[in-house]
Amino acid sequence: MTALPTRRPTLLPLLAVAAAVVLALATQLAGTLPAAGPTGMDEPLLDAPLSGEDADAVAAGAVDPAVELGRARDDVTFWAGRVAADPSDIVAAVKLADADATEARLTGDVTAYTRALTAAEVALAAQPGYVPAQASKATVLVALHRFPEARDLARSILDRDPGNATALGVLGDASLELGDLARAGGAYQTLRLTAPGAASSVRDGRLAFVRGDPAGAVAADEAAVTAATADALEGDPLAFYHVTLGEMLLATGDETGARGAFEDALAVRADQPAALVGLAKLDAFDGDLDTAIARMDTALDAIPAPDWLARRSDLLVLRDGPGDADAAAADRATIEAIASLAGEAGSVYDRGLSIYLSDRGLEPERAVRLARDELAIRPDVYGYDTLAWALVNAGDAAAADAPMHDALAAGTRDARLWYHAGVIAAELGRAAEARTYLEDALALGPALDPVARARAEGVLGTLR
Amino acid sequence: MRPSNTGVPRLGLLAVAGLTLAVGASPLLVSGADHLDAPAAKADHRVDITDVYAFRSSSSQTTLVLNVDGLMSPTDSKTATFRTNALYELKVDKNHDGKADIAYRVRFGAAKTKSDGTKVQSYVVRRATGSLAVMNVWTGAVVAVGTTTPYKHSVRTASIAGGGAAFAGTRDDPFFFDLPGFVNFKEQLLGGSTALGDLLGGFTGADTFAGTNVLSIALRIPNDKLGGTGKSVGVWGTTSVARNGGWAQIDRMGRPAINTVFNGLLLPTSSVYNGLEKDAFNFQRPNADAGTTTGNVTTVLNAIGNVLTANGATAYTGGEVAAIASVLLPDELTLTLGSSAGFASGTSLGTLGLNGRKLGDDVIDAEFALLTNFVITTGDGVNANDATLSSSFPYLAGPH
Repeated sequence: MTALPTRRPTLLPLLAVAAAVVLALATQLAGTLPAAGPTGMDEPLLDAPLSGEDADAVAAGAVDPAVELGRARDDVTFWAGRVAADPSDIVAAVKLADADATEARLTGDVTAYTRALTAAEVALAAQPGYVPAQASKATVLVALHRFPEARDLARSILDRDPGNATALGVLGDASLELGDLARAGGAYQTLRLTAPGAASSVRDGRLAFVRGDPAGAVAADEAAVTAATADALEGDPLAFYHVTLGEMLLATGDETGARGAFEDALAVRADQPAALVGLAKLDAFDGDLDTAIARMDTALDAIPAPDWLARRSDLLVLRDGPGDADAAAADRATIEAIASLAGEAGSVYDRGLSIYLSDRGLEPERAVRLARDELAIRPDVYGYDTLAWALVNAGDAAAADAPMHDALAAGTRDARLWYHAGVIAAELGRAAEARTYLEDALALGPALDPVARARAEGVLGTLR
Repeated sequence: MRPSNTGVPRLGLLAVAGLTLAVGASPLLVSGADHLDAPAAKADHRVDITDVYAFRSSSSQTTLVLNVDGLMSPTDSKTATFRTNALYELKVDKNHDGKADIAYRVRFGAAKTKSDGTKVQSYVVRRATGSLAVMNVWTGAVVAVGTTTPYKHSVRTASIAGGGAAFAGTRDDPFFFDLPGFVNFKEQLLGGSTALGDLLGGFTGADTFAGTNVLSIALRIPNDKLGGTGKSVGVWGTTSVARNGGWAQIDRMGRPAINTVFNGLLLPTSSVYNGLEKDAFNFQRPNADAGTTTGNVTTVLNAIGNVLTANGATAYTGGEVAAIASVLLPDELTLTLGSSAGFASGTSLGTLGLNGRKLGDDVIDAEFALLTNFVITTGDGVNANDATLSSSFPYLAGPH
C-alpha cells in the first residue's frame, strides 16, 4: 500500500487567512441570500395565555441557583457514567468536560476545572486531532490561568479551522492576559465577524476598557446584554452579561447604572454571587455596611472566592461591630488556607494574594515575589500594576515606577491603577502628578473600595 | 476512574477575571460535540439541526421531522426549550430547482414552568407558498396553533388546517451512529492513511446517541398539500435567528451528513480544512450547492477512491463521481410522496435507495456503501436505534 502524501496548507499568518475566508464568505452570502425583507417579527398568537392542563404553568422568573447547580451536577454524573463505561467515547468525554466546566462556573470550584481538563484530555488521548476536545481543553486552560498553553492550543486549532469560534475566543482571552493587545484585538475582530453576538461583544468591551475607552466598553457590554437577551439565554449565562455591564458601569463611576445592571442580574438568576458583590461595593460606597456585608455573606456562601473574602474582611473591620474583628480574622485565615491548599492550581491565586498582602501591608517580600512570579506568566496591564503596588508597599517606590509606567501604557482608565500611580508618584515626590492621579481615581466614586479611598484621601491630604 | 467530588477541598477561584472569562466563553462552549456541525450553528444548540426526516405515514399523508439540540442528557431534557426568537422551517421543493415552493414555518413563545419543573411553550405553524416560501421570513397562513409536549408528559398534537397534525417537544434521538468511530475514520483519511484496518478500526458498534434526546418538530401533512401523491419532491430543514431586523439562516440540512462528510476537510490532495466552509453551506440555499460543493464531493470521493485502489478494490470512475455529485447536490431529501421506500443501502449505484428518510433507516451504513463504491457494506456496526419507535404520530420514541 502506498500512503498518500500529507499536504498541509501554507501557514500564512493565521488571522489574515481567517479574515480572507470571512470576506469570501460574506461575498458569497451576498450573492445567495436576499436582503432582509419583511420579517413579521411579531406573533400575537404566541402571547396567548396557556390554559387547561397548563394552568399550573407560570412565567419563568429568576432561575433558582440550587436547581441550576443540581442540573449541572446531574449532567456531570450522566456523562461521567458514559465515559466510565467507554473511555474511547470522545463525544461523551467532551460533554463531560463541558459539564464539569459549567459546574466550576456555578461554584467557583477550581477542582471542577481540573476535572474538566482531565475529561478533555481523555478524549484527546483517544483522538488527538478531535477539535471539539481541543477547544474544550483550551477553554479550561484559560480558566486555570495557563495562558501560554491556551494561546498555543487555540492557534493550533485555528491552523486547521480558521473560523473556530471557541478557539478565537480563547486566543483573544489568553493574548489579553499575556499583554498582547494587538493579537487579542485581531482574534476578537475575527470572532465578531464569524460569530457575532453576546460572547463576542463582551470581549470587545473588556479590550476597549483596557485600551482606555470606557465609553466604548460600556457600549459593547450593553450590546452584549441586548444580544444575550435576544438569544433568550436564562439563568447564570444571562446574569453574567448583566454583571459584566454592571462592573463596567461601576468602573466608570456610574453608580445608578451599575446598581440597575446588578439588579437585572438578580432578576434572572437569584442570588447571583458576582451581582451581590457588585451591589455590596455600591452599598459600602453609600456607607451601608450592614447591607453590604449581608450581601457578601450570601455571595460567599455560594463561591468562597479569596478576593471576596478579603473584601468582606475589610468591611467587617470598617464596621467594627461586636464579633467583626474575629470574623475578619477568620476570613483572612481562610484566604491563607485556600492559597496554601491550591496545589498545582496555585498560580490561579498569585495575583490576588499579592494584592491582598500589599493592600494590607502584610509580608511585603512575599507580595513582591508573588507579583514577580505572576508577571512572568501573565504580563498584562494588571500584572505590571500588581508588581508596582507590591514594590511601593515594600518601601521601594523607585523600583515601582517602571512597572507602574508599563501598567499605564495602554491608557487604561481604571481607578485602582490611578490610585496606585498616585501613591507611587507621591512617594517619589512628584506631587502634581500624584494629585492628578488620586483626584481622578477618587472622582470615579464606587470604583475605588472604601479602604483604598481612605488611603487615597490620606495621601492626597498630605499633598495639599 | 474519575475522582469523586467528595473529600476534595472546595476552593474558590481567586480571580474574578478568571471566572469572567470562563463564563464569557460559555455560549461558545456548548459547541462541545454534536453532529460535527459548524461553529455558527453550534453557538446555540437550540437551533443546531441534527437531522431531517421525510417519510410516508399513510397512503395520502407524509410526515416531516426536524430535530435540533442533539446529545441532550435526560437532565437537560427536562427543561429544554425551543428558542423563542428563532424560525424553524421545513421546506419543500416541487420541481427540484433548489428553491422552496412550500415552507412550513414554526415559531415558539416564551417558556413557562409547570409545577413539576418541566417547561411548556406555545407554538404557531404557518404555511407559505411560491416566492414567499423561498425566503426565511415569518409569513404565510396560520395552519396550526399548539403547545409543546412537556418532558415525560403525554403526547400533545395540534390539528393542521386542511388536514394533518403538528407536534413539538423532547423526544428520543432516533439517529444511531458510532460518532467516535467516524471521527477516527476522518482523522485517518485526513492523515493520508489507506489502511482499511486503521480507517475502520475506530468503530466499536457503540451508538453515541443512545440514551440522549433531541427537540423535535413533526408535521403530518396531506400529500395534496405537498404536490400530490406520486410527486417527487425535495425536503430540507432550516433554522434562522432574528438578526438586524430580519431572519438570518444559520443552519440547513437535507440528506444526512452531507455537510459533515464533504465540507471542511483538509484532505491530502485538497484544500484547507475550514469550518467556515461548513457555515457557508448552512447559510445558503440548495440551488447554490452544486456551484459551491461539487468540487468537495469530487475530492472526497477521489480520496476514498485512492484508498480503495490501494486496497485492491475498484474506485468510482470519473463519470460515476460526477453522477454521484449531481445526485447528492442540491442537498435535498428527495421523496416520492406516497412511496414507502426509505433511505437504504443497495449493492450498487443502481440499487441504492434514496427515497426520503424514515426514522429507523440506517443512513450511515447506506452512505458508507455509497462513498466506498459498495466495498464497505458493514457500516459503523450500529444497526438500530436504542428506543422503540411509536406506531402513532409523531412516531418518535418518548424521551429518556
